[in-house]
Amino acid sequence: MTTSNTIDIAGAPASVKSESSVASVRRMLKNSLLISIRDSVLLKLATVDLLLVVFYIGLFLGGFFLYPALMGQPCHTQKEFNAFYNQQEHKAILLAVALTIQFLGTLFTNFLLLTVDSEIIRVWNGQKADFKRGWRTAASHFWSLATWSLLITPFNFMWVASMCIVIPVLTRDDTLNPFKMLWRSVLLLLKIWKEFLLGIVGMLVIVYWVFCLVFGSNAIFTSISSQCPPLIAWVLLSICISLSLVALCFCYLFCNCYLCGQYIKASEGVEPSPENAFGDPA
Amino acid sequence: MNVSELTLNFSSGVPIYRQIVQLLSGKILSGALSPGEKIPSIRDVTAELNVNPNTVAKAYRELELAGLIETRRGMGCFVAERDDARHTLTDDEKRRHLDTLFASLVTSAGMFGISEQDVSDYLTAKHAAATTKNNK
Repeated sequence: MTTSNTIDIAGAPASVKSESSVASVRRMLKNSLLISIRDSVLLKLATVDLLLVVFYIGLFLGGFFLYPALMGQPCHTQKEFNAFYNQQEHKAILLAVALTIQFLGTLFTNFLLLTVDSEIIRVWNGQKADFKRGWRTAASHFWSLATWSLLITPFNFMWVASMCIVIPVLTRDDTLNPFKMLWRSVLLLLKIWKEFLLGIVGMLVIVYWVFCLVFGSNAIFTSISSQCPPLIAWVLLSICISLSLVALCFCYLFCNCYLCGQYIKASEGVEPSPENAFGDPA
Repeated sequence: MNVSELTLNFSSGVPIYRQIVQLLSGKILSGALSPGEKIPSIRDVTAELNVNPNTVAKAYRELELAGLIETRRGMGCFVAERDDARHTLTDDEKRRHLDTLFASLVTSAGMFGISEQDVSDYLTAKHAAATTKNNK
């Protein structure tokens, strides 16, 4: 008996590898869109997450403006703010506060991302999304998230790596060593790098069209509202804001669905689909 | 057999479907699972281990192709009725198992920075040492 030299080192099944990457990416993008449209629980979870992030940013900016007033030196102009924050005695405190805020923000964002990603993976696996379970899963990975957030706090650009590769991996891989986390994520990414890059282009195209649609309708609403009585104008503007928020949440969910789908493909070696093996919808 | 007996390692780098194939084929070939014994359904494995149904289905398909399990319509999957699966494997089936084992070994070694060539050299050296020992 002789063994043929057809070992698949990367681990992906031959059927997946021989198939065109473009076809696979198109299918995954289509399925991600399907999940994002069908699953209302996931959309709610994504909306709550985004609102919490906006709330945190609001707190941060509010604190930035309120701090001088709390210190007894209220600032009303840009010049006064610059003068206040350039004072030597405030610089050290400010740096420490800024780093703490950035760390907490990173941790908070990663935590919220994990709540969504863990449920997206369950939906890909044919289960129903559960709002509370997502939070519980994220809470059970708190210390891993904390060490990872601590590592990326000084580097703003690392949130991209966090969103794209590390957080989906963290949903099922609990390690406290952030370097190990990153290394494992990179190893998985190497298996699907072609589909990953093609997918990012596809995602950008879809997100672009969604926002074109939203901004187009917003422009129409705004132009109509300028010629309407105040009450109708107020309703139309509310619709504009709601539409923009829904579009933002939808795009956030869609992008995460695609990234989690790619993570499943890389880690399990099989392309997932929202229609599970029994033909039930996800 | 319970699903809890299937322990998967998500951080090993070895694809999950391959881990399922290895675990089940190991149990079948070692005799831990007897012929005719029912194995967990795709639905149970999926729900318990939080893996994709397509992944489990692919693993079961591979095991079925290797002749280790059989699907009975409406009843589920069972260990194939064979007197001794180890001795009745065809050359093709043996090669398939070796392919799976070697790929897993190479992937795991890769995690520690060991190249495929190093693994191959190591196996050759081991084989040579075993042959010398047997000859003595």
